[in-house]
Parts: sequence; structure tokens; C-alpha cells
Amino acid sequence: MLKNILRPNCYYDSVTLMVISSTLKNIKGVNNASVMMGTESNLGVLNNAGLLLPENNTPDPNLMLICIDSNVDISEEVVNVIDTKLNEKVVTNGVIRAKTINNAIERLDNPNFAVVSIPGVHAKKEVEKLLKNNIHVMLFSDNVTMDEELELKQIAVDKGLLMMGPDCGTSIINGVPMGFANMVNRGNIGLIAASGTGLQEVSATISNLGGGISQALGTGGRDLKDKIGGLMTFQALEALKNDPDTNIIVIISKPTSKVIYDHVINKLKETDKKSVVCILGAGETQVIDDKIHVVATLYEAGVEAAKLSGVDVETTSTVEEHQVETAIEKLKKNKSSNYVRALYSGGTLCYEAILNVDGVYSNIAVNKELALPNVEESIKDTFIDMGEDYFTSGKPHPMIDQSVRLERLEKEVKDPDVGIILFDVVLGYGSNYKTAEELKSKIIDLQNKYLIDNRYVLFVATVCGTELDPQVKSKQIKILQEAEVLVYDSNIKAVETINRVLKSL
Amino acid sequence: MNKIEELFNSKIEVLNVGLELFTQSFVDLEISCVQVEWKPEAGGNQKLLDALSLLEDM
Amino acid sequence: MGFNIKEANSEGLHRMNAAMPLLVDIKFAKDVLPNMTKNTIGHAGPPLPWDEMCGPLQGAILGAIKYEGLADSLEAAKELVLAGGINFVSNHSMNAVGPMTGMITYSMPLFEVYNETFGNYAYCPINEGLGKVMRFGANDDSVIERLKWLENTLSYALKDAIKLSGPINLKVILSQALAMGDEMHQRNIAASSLFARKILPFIVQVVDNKQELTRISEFLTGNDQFFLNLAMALGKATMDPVKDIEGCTLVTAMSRNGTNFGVKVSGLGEQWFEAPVNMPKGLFFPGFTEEDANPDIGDSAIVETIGVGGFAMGAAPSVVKFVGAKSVKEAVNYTNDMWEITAGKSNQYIMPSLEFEGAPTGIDIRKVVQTGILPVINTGMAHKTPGIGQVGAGIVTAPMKCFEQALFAFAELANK
Repeated sequence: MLKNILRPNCYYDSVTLMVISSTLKNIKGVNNASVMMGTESNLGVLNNAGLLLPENNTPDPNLMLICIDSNVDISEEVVNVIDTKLNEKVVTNGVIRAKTINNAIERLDNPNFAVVSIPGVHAKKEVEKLLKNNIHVMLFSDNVTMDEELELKQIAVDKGLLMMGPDCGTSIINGVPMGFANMVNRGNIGLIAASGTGLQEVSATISNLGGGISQALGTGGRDLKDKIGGLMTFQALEALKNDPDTNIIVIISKPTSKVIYDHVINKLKETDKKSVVCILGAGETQVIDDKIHVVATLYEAGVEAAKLSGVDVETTSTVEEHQVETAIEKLKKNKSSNYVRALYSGGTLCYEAILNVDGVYSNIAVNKELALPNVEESIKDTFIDMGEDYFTSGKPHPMIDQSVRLERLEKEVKDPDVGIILFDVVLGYGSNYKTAEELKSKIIDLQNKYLIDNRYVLFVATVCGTELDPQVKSKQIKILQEAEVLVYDSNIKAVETINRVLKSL
Repeated sequence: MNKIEELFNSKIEVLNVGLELFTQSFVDLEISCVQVEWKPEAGGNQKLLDALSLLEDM
Repeated sequence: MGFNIKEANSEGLHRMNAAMPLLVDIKFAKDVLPNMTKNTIGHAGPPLPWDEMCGPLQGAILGAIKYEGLADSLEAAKELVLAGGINFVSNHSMNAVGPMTGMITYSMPLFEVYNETFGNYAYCPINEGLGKVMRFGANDDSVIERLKWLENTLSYALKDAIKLSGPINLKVILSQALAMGDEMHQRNIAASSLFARKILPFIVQVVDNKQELTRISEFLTGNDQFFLNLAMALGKATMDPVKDIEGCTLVTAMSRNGTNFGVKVSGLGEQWFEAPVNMPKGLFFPGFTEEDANPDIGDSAIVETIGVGGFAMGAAPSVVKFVGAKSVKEAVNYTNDMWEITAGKSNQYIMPSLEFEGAPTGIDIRKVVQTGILPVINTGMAHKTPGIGQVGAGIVTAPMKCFEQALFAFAELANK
């Protein structure tokens, strides 16, 4: 039976509700259940899941819908669970609360920054309010149109403000991590990144090697597209060029048009400051004008920047040679194709991986022939970006809640043709603190369930973060090692091991 | 550019509009923060939003 | 129509802050209220017909008819009403306000409050006290007797005392009381004490008869809610000059008649924007439950209209338990919320416990609709059966519909 309980004028953010929703299936007697706000797109999701009664199909973004599919009526219990969790909702102590931006502005002496993470369809209006009040913005929301993005960035550029985004959840300003950013050493290297996990990987690498970050500015994934023309990238670049505390500038991006790329290089030529450019997928490594270092991977970008800032870079490894060799031997004994399946939470890390391993299928494949026809079904060697829209429609991002990734992990390990699993654990304030712990438990569980009778699966992980992060990098590495995972502290190192293993098989 | 320079040289005072999970770093680092408990204006009712829009800039 | 809402609201807020409400006299309704006739009965809230009135309101009206000598019995009074012999009027349209049922009739003595800055007057009856009183719909002989005593004895004593003392500054008393934990709606004990302190030295000079003096001083000092009516008159006097500012979206009145809640807006003139009242949520006195409560009633929401009462709950921690709020923190949250929907802060009604911030002043209908935050009112709850009295106290919100309708009306005006 299907039951819908409606609560008008009861707004909660999507993350809170999605996390609660994912636990409802565990209630005895529930076939399927969900609690969501009644936006048009959410109604679509509920409809598709067969949870919405036809009379409730009218959109109302302030209406909370509790939808339950069960054999007998257990709605009272489900509602109790939901209400208990809503009341337990983490309410950070020590922050002032306001209900509107205008009121919030009055509550601070000199508000100068805002992190915006509301539904994208409403974002433009709110960001305009902030920019109007001379407040720099990091816009995490997605589903903001390119036209809206352009308008907002034009306002920001006119006013000399930062408007980082949309879809930008990571930046570091004055040493303060915003959104998902990691806690890193302060120093003289400035970053400009079109990608969140790209920024995270590079900043963590720099910090781990002994360098430091002056500022790390996000631009949003579309900034370097022709329509936007790199408005924020160039705004940020000017700022870092003029910042006395920044001596090295690092730019991280995916491939752009030649016009824009050339413009970036020209701008870098104009400054005496040394720079590092990492355009993932653009391939060539070179040095321009003896000061612009073009590199191909995120790790290299970090190493090069650290070196340029005067750090004596010592590369260390978290995995010993014999561990890899033992793994290869065990895999050879498998009567299986030993496919590799990667489940990434960081989109850019997944992208970097795909660029560096031949012939992998993916849901973000550059080569159309390697695009997965059905994202739910892996083919041969497959690397999946679990944070891609398909997986996050109606569900929280895997960096916040990895229930979907854990389910997929089970599916992959169950597949007898799979021999290698690769995944990332991204640390930082905004990320789930229990990611490694949950993965460790799941892996041990799966090892007991499926890896019997001499079937072996090699688990490889990369941890992106630092000792300063609340999760503490070394602690997380240790946790994963307890499940016999080979843990690296940079993505490309993990990927190189995968390549090495594949070649040896 | 001045405003960005200013930002780099000022104490951060931040508005967090939306997901509360982002405030933890501010609390831990003792950064002044206001959590804006955002919800859709006028309950999302388009007619009301139109009326508000009309009267907003007057 | 090209108005400048920003400027208009600024003017409205300025007028609220500039008010100087002084208690200057006691006057009889017949002498000062426009169109007051022997057959006229003023009531709280927007106008409504007899058959839509709630129990306590009808009970009070029957009692008022008896008080004026228009009928000998309640049955006869009812017949008079049904025959169309009574003219019902909304108090607000007579420059007046009254708590709960809000009965104002021809012979009643009223506080006269003069807003010195703008030269306008506002009126409110003298608070009858607690228990079986007309404002809760009681109408037996004891009620009538008390009202007669107010009319024939207390009113003259007060009138003479005020003449002797000179105008009494109510704004100052309210400010002091706010700093002492009153919010002036459900908690008036400090304000009532301050007023008593002010007036008694003059009462003793103008009343010779010891018995009378005893009854009067007991009456003035025995009612914790005495100041409520003065606060209401102060509110009305403060808000009336804010009416009819072209382009002003600030609320000039909020009031309930037990059936409907009404809101008036400065730039929209005398029109009431109405919707069914909400039920207050709060605490009940022993022996009473939600089942017993009458829907929200009274002109006393004028107190919230000027920014105190429920709006200043954060400054009145002692009222928290009384109105069923969960904690002092919750009370502070209410005040924080009210700052979100008002144009500014009071320059005189300051809350020391909230960092000396001024009370949320000037409810902007746009902000109410935009944020979804409703004005919050601390209210007494009457028994739905007339005459039993107060059964509890709680928090009630103004209905959103009133503000939505007002917003649409404003937009229409803007489009002309």
C-alpha cells in the first residue's frame, strides 16, 4: 500500500532529507520510502519510484512529502523516525542564525564572504543580493543556467568581487577552508581551479610535501567555456598576480578552447611570478618562457609548485614494493578476467584516472565508444564517477553520504570477473568523517562473503587530504590498511599501480 | 581588484546560505559565521513572487 | 502609480519612533468617540455580523446591553440584537481599542491617550481585573456592578488624579517595564506596578472617603494586567498617525474578533484584510484543555503591532513558561524572527538582555510574505463558553492569508 503524508510550509534542505530517506528502507515493513520537498523535479523522482499518489502531483517547494510503500500501514513509525532524525539534525552551536540574507548581513560587523548551497533555481536571486552588498560568493549550487552564471559573473567582475561557481564547493580563503576544502599549510602558492577535487588534490599534495597555500580560488566547471570566457579565472589570476603573499600561481582545469588557453598563457607571461598549469587531458609537459610549467597530472602540479616555492621535495610511498608484487601473484591465481572497477567520489580524480589507463569504460568517458550504455552495469575495466548527476538525482553526493557507492561496491565485488577495485577517500571538513571506516567495514564484510575459495580481489585506494584535516590523513590510511587495502596518498600513484598490475597480468 | 585585496587582508566574516554542514570549519576555526536557514521565498507561490518582485524595487 | 516604498516605510518607521503617548485624561465614550450612540456597541477586531460571533463575544454584548440599560435581562438583550436594535462597530474605526471581547459602550469611561508629536488621541477602557469579567464574555450582575463602579467612582478618581499629576508619559513606563522583564501583553506586572507608583500619590489626594480609597487602591494594585489597557491605547495612539502614507507597506493594525483576524496596512487605508483566526498554542490553567479554548480574540494585538508583546519575548524570559514556549532560547528566536519581518528597530523600547537592541518595529507585509515568518502574538486564551474567563495563555500567529491579500492589493495599486 502507498501512503503520502503532506506537511505544508515545512522546508528542509535536500541533504538533510536525502540522508534521512536513505535510512527509511531499513525500517521493518518498508518496501520503499522517501521524504522530500515537493519541487517539480522531486515529484518526478517520487513518481518514477512509484511513491507518489496521483492527487499529490502539484509542485510546492515548501511542502514536505513523506511517501511510504509498505504492506501494512506503518506510517506512524516511519513518521516518528523521520521526526526524531529531524530533531537530532546537527545544529552547529556557536553560529548565529538568521532566516534571510538581509538579516544575516546586519548580524555581522563586516560580512565579506558567503557560501551558497541552495537549490539552483533560486540561486541567482540570492547571489545577486550578496554581490549587491559587496560580499564575495562561493556558489556550490548546481542547476544554475549558463546565462545566469554569465550575468552573475559580470556583476562580480564589474564590482571586483569573487563569484566562484556555480557547482563550486571548494576554496581556501586566508587559510580558511570553505565547503569541502582541506585544511592545509599556509604558504605562498596560489591556486585557481575549475574543479573541486582537483583543487583538493593539488592543495593537499603541496601541503603534504611541505609547501603552503596562500589562496585557493574556485571558478566553477564552466568558467573556461567560450560563453563565460574565463571571467572568474582571469579575475582570480589578476588577484593572485597582485597578491604580495602569492609567489607561485597554479591553474588547474580541463581542456578548453585554444583561444582561452592562449589567453591564460599570455596572462601568465605578463607576470614575473612562476606558474604551474595543469590542463588535465591536454597531454604535453613543457616549460614556457622558463617560468610557466605545464604538467599533465594533479600530483605533478603539486610537486612542481612545491619545488618552485623552494621546498626540498621528498617523495615517499605509503605502499611497499613487495605488497604490490604479492597482489599480482594472487591475482594471477584467479580464474578470472581480473577486471578493474573504480568507484570515485571525486569527479576530477576519476577523470584523471580515465586519462591514464587505456580502454576503460566510464560514465564520464571522453571517448564515446567507451561510454557505458547502462551506467548501472560495468563493462570490463570500468571507472565510475559516483558523484555524477545520474547518481545524485534525489540522493546526496558520495562525499557526504556513500550509501550508493557501498551498494555498487558490493555489486562489483560479487562479480566473479572482477579482480581489482579502486576508490578514493576525500578528506576535509565538508566530507563525511566516516568514509574510510565505512569502506573498511564493507570491504571486510565483502571479503568474508565473496572472497572465499581462493578468490582474491585487490583493493587500492587513494586518500586525498592532510594531517591537519579533521579526519587526519594517517588515521584514515591506517583504517583502510586494516582491510588490506593498498593505500596511496595521491590519485596518480594509485592509478600507476593499477596500470602496473594490469600490465603484469 | 581592491575588494579582493581587501578580502585577502581581512578577517573572514561569512554567511552560510544553505547546507549547515559547511559551518563546521568556521566554528572550529572561530570564524564569525551566520547560518542562513534559507527557504524558498513566498512558499514558492509564483503569483506572490510576482507581486513581491513588482514592489521590491519601489 | 509611482510610489517610493522605501521612503514611505522609512517615514512610517520614523512616525512610530517619534510617538509621544501621554495619558492625559479619563473621558466617557459618549463624549469622545465618533458616532457613539446609546445603541452603539464597539467590539474588538474587524466588523462582523451577530451570527458569526463567538460565544464570549455574544455573551459580552448581551452584558453590555444590560449595562447600558437597554434591556432588563439577557433574553431581552438578545431579542434587541436580533431585532436589529444594536449598531455594532469595530473599535478601531472609533479611535479605540479593547482587550478580548473589547466592549466599548456609550457610558463607559476610557483612558484618553494623547500622542503629543502628532496631536491624535486614542482610547481604551479601564481593565476590569481578573476572573469573571466582561472581556471574557461574563455578563452577570457582579460584572455589571463592577462596570458601574468603574463608571461612577474609579473614573472620577483617576480623572482628578491625572489632572493633578499632569500628563503621564506612558512611553517611559513601557521602556522601563521592558527592561524589567515585561512584554506588555501577557506580562504587565512591572508596568502596572510602575503606573500604580505614579498615580497613587495623586489618588490619595483626590479621594476623601477612606472606604472608596481602599477599594480604589486595591483595584489599582491588585491587577497584574492593569497596564495592558494603557499599553493598548499607547499602541493605537502610536499607530494611527502611520495610516495613509502613500506607498507604505507597514502594518498599522492587527486585531481579532474571535472569528477573523484583521490586518490594516498604511498605504491601503482603512481596508481590513481578513482570514480566519489561528488557534493559540500554549499552556492551560489546571482543569482546562485545548477543548475549552476560544479562538483568538481582542484588539490587544496592537501591542505586537508596535513591536512589543510577542515581538519582545526575548526580553521577557519570565513569560516563557506562561505562554508555553520551550525555553528562553526559543523566546529569543521569536524576537530574532520578528526582526526579519520589520522595517527597523525601536529607538526607545530597548531590550537590555538582547544586547540593548531595539524592539522589532514596523511590520512590512512584503517581508512577511517573502520569508514566511508570521507575526507572533502572546495572547490570553478565553473559555469558549462565555463568562468562565481565562483558561490559559499561549502564542498565536497572524494568518498568512491576510498578508498575501494585502500584498496583492498593494501590487494592484502599484500597477494603476
